[in-house]
Amino acid sequence: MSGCVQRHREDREPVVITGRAAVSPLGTDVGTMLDRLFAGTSGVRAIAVDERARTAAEQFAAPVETIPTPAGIEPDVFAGLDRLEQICLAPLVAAVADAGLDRSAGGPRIGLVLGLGAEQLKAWELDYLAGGGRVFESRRDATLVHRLAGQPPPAGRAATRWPWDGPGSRWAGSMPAWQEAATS
Amino acid sequence: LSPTSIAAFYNLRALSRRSDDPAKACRPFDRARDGFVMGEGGGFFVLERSRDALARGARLHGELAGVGMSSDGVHMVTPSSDPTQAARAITAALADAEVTPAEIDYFNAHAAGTPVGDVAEAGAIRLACGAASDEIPVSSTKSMTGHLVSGAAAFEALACLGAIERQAVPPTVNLDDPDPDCPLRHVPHVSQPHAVAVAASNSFGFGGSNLCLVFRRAA
Repeated sequence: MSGCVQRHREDREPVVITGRAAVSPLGTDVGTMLDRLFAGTSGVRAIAVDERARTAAEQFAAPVETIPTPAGIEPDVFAGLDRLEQICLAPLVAAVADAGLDRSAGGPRIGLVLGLGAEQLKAWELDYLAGGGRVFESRRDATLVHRLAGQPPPAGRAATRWPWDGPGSRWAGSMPAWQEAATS
Repeated sequence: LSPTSIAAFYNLRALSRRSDDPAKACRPFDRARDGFVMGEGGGFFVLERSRDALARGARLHGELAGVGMSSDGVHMVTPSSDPTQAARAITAALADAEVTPAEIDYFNAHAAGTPVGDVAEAGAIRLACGAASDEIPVSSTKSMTGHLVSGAAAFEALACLGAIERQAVPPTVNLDDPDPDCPLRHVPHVSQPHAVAVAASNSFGFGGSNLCLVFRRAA
């Protein structure tokens, strides 16, 4: 099967980027990341040897170093989140702050298009390592990213700090998320 | 990063096995490339209609000018050696942005450092951009970050915005011996000052998903 998706120009208005943030092997703030990127600095290194890794080739990668606690979230709450949730939440908070959006009443509605494909893998892996045989089901295994993408966040979790008031959708990765965000 | 994902990609023979010198393991477009390196990370962007952003006096990092996406669906894992569909995504993105290949000032390649994928992408860029591809600086930032998989398209968009902001193009590190089957205008080892008003980014995924984004300096 093949196909091609393209927006119709008559349907669109110019879309600009007003907020940006990332966590990556090159750092956790945009300035540092770009400095290292343009300096040709590699973020690839040997990682802690995992007893499940069978070969040396499985023992190097490009990890993110310590992820700083985003503004407005209690450090102990953030520290208690799954790493995948931390990698998701930290740039989310930073991008909104970078955009200078007014989150108070009367501010613009903010929707969320989320592209993340690792949740099922994570859920399956943790269950497998615990000896289980569960099949991932999004309703039962909902995590932070599901809540951010439109489900009401449970009280007491970090997501309650970021009550999205616009529509949300969730995609398998950042590729289709870009497509969706551009056309939303 | 998780043991399962690393082991899975390893078993697919998609990962580099240069364990003797990890920082030199990821070598996109290099003749000696042997696979990608797993990375982790993610990014978020706030997109607004231009008129809304201007009305509130927001700082503009750039315009998301064009999006093109296609699917070649040839194989679950192996990228298609036929560049037609990937080129179609590039062509669609350029048409969406209303820019010609000659107007692209920087191309952030998907190039993960796999033997098949890098050649296929070079072919797609050449097919879509024609003779202009001799002049467009192309680099793969995965040479420094590894492959962020689901987050790759997000981070590499940031690299494009950085190129527009800094008026420079980031390098492909470890590109010691460019593969003649990847005939592009490479940026080996060090970044280069370059006027960048339009930057494009390719992202390709398993199963034959192809995405091209075009960013433009905000007016």
